[in-house]
Amino acid sequence: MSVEVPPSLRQGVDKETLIDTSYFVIRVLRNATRGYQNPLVSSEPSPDVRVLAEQATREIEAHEGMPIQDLPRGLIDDYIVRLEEFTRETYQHAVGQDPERAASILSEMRSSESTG
Amino acid sequence: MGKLPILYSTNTWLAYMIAQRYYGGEHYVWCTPFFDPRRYGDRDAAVPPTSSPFEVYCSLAEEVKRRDRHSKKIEENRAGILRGANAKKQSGVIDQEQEKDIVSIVDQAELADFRPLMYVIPYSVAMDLMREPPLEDKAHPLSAEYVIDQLPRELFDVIEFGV
Repeated sequence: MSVEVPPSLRQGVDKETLIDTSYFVIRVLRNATRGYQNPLVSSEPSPDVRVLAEQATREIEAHEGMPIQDLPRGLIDDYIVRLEEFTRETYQHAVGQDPERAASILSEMRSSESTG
Repeated sequence: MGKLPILYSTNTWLAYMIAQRYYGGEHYVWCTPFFDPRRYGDRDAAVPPTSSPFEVYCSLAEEVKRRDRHSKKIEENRAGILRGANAKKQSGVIDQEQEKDIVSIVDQAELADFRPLMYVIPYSVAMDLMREPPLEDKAHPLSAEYVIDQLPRELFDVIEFGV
């Protein structure tokens, strides 16, 4: 996979804004795979997140030389995977992580299976 | 066609369990009254297959079964769970330790933890909690899609079935 995280997401964006922005860029990419004619950033997030997500989307288009909706499906998938990895790495770096505790909670959840 | 009595939403087991444990059993859902829009004609079911709860359920189940480590749907779900944790921390629903728990859990989760669950929601109890998503988020301008930001667990059933 050779796709790059858009530069605007790598330049000193605070954690809260970055997590939200990446999610909405992923949603645009996802919508492109669902056949949207002109996938746009949702109007749901705050204005600063929306502006940054639009900028990041334009950067992907400029890097690839085509509109989001024309990107090959495999390339869109690569961008989604890369953005999610970047989001997770950034989030972990910001709040820390405790793999042992997480494994213990997951084990407890799996054994309870309490969806009923 | 009048209001259909049931709403359906496909979510992952991990998202469900996190909402149960950390968000007081309140769930964020996208839903539609059409379980499988292919069963209705084009005229009645303004929901494209990509928004069909049944289609989403089947493709997610297939990706989990295939052990697809780079499944786009699973990566989307991870990003959605992280966005949820970020929002819940900012609104004071969870504290810093709980946020760290969720981020660590998402990282440690196995593919099977992203298996799909089908939420079955009676329209009559959810109607006051529903909102329409922004137009740009809908698969079709007329598609019958709704968002419920905080759906209490006692207002819906959860089904898991093999495909």
